[in-house]
Amino acid sequence: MSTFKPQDAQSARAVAELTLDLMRPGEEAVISGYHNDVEDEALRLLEMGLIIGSVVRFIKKAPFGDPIQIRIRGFDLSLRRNLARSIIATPIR
Amino acid sequence: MNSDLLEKTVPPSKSGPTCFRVAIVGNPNSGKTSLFNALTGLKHKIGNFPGVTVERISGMIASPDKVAYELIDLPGLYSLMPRSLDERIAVEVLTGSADLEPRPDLIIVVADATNLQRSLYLFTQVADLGYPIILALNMMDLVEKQGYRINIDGLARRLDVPIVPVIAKNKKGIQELKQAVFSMDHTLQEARGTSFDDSESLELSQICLPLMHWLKQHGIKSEAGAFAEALRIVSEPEIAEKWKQRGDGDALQHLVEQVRTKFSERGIPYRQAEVRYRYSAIDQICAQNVLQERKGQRTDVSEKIDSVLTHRVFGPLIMVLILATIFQSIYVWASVPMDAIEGLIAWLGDQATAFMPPGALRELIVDGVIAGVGAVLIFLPQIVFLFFFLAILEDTGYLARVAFIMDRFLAKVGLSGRSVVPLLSSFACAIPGIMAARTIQNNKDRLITILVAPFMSCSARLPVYTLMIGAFFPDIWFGGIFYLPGLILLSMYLLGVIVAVISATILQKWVVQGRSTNFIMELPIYRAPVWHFVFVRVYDAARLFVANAGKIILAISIILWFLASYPKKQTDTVATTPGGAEQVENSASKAVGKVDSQIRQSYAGQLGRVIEPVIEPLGFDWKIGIGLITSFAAREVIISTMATIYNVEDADETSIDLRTAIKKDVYADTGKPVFTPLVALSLMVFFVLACQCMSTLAIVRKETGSWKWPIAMFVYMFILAYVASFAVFQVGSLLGFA
Repeated sequence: MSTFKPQDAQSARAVAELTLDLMRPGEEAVISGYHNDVEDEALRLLEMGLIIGSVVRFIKKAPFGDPIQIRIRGFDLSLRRNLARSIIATPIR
Repeated sequence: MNSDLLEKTVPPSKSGPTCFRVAIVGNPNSGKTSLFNALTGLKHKIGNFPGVTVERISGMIASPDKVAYELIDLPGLYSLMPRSLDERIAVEVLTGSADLEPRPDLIIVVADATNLQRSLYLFTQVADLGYPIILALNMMDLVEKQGYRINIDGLARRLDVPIVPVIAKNKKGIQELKQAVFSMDHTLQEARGTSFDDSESLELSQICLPLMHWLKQHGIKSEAGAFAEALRIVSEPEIAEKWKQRGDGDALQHLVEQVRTKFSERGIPYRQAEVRYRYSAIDQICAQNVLQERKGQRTDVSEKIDSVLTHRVFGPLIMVLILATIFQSIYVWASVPMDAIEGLIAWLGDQATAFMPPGALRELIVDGVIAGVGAVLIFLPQIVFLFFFLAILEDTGYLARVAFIMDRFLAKVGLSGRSVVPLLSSFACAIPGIMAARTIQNNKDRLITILVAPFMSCSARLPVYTLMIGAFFPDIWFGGIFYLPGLILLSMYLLGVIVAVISATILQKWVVQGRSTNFIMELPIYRAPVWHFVFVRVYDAARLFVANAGKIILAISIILWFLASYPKKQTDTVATTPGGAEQVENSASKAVGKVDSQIRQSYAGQLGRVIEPVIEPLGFDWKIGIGLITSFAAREVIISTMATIYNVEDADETSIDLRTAIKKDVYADTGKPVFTPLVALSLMVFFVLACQCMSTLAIVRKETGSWKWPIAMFVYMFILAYVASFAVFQVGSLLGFA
């Protein structure tokens, strides 16, 4: 699943990439990288399985717009948009 | 941090060689605590880890041949990189790096079988520490529903540990799990650790070889342990620092940098190295051992419920409705057992009065101990109801949705959705609220939540509000919709909330140090609550409340009784017992005349008169002053104090006699009434803002670990209360409302 080879990351970048906060409800994407260096908070996301190559599904925004709800590896997670903005993903299809 | 890796021998446990210590480890929401409860039943002990405020929950079980096992329910973990205080303690116990506990003899890792990949992340980390491990796969029923099949034998072979499938809520597999624990101690065989053989793991371990070599020279024995520790050192500067302190630091630093450079060359940021290595292995393991047989429906059902409960419009509406219903029912339903407890306490007092010889001891028991402790025990039903509802909300998964909805607003004051529960609980009582703040990962958030929680109007303020509003605010309806007493009551609650919001903003900007939080929270699927476990949690909360409140209130009650009863007035022996049975005068006007008797010249009375000049600008006289002083033990005590002062028989909190008495009370010199609606308002505002609660201060001391914060909290809340009451009374007087 997970790829360590830099050429994979480069080829992924050729497709239209976006950050998690910009996804639409129901949309699925493959995580392809992270903005900035991964700091503590985002490292927790990695430990929960949001690693490069993982498929993430955008479920919905909270009623007041923030945080967002995503599905990863079979469970649902909520995180704020500012953190979601640091995760880059390539939409599937 | 790594003494465990240096010494593989199991240290002798505290409780003697015949007692094995079993730690239960797992992700939050993995059903870890349910499993613990299923294993130990009600026979568990709640304490603290020495020196820290994290709860240590343990229970004993015994094997058929009488070998004792102490099970310890460690706080939930996602990984061995801790974020919150709870997590740090759990990690320190596991890595044997603190003096909290001897190292456990055996670990049960609880995995949510429906979240196998994430659960295995923690499992592989723990396995690499070199423990004998049993893997309990929980929620096996949901796995089937979801359409998956786990090859348990294959997984057990691959991970080299015994695996026991369980359904904790139905207690299925519990006997098998116990059996596995009992048969484990004879061998004490360590889990093999993650000797993964996929190509990426091999590649990474090749890079790490020099570092692993260094670690093996410095005490780590196993290959897997050295590899795991190498990755940890490379990922986390803090851990590298700890190894450097063992000497040879320069060489280590050089090796670490070498490994990091090689990782970078392969496009792996070094901080992600461990995560990527473990997940690459886990993905492979799961691919081999987990089969999706058909499409499941589990998440679909949850998603359908969510489409209503976190709907843009209906979500917040339903949330308000649910919470309002709960708080309403806490008041309405709890009033029945509260009346019963009140009756029981009165009966106890009567019995003690009847059977004990008159004298100081009887007064102490009746007026001090029974009345004082009773005044607090009355709130037990509210605590029970609150925790009952909270347990249901949490177990069903709805509480996470409340946090999800509310996070937006709490973010504005620098907090997060995780503060919702502690703050809401504080409307019943700040003590469980402050205790609930333990679940907040970020220390800064946790502290701010603790510091503003007492601004939420707790149930102990309610009797004060009810008395004052009932006595001084007439039943007026505005336009048939707004009811004056109701509006006043609501504005008292709102005042607390507004001040809490402002305080939180100020605290997070200028006072409390530390990094602000982010909000990462799992939204578990909806589940039916398991009544047995709900009961256990309510029982635990009640037990803690009685124990905590009991000790402090008992001491304060005795002191207050002494202050109000001594020195004795020599001339009038009949009127010496404040509120005692000898007082038969019921008439309020007569009672007012009695105010000058015992209480006035007691220590409490003297104190009241000393502080009278200070509280006069707030509109309070010395009798209210005594009430304010005594209410620092607990807010509701002001009612019984005033009842005592006015010598009203049967000082019932809603007694018409106290109401009449305070209405009729006049200043001796001017003949003006002591209480006016403005004074009542000023007094209520004071009660909204002041931290008049010894139990709260004691729990804040316990939770923050020093006297600094409770003292700061007491002072700033007192200043706020004084200034606000001053403003209310003085501005009101200027406007002619006096």
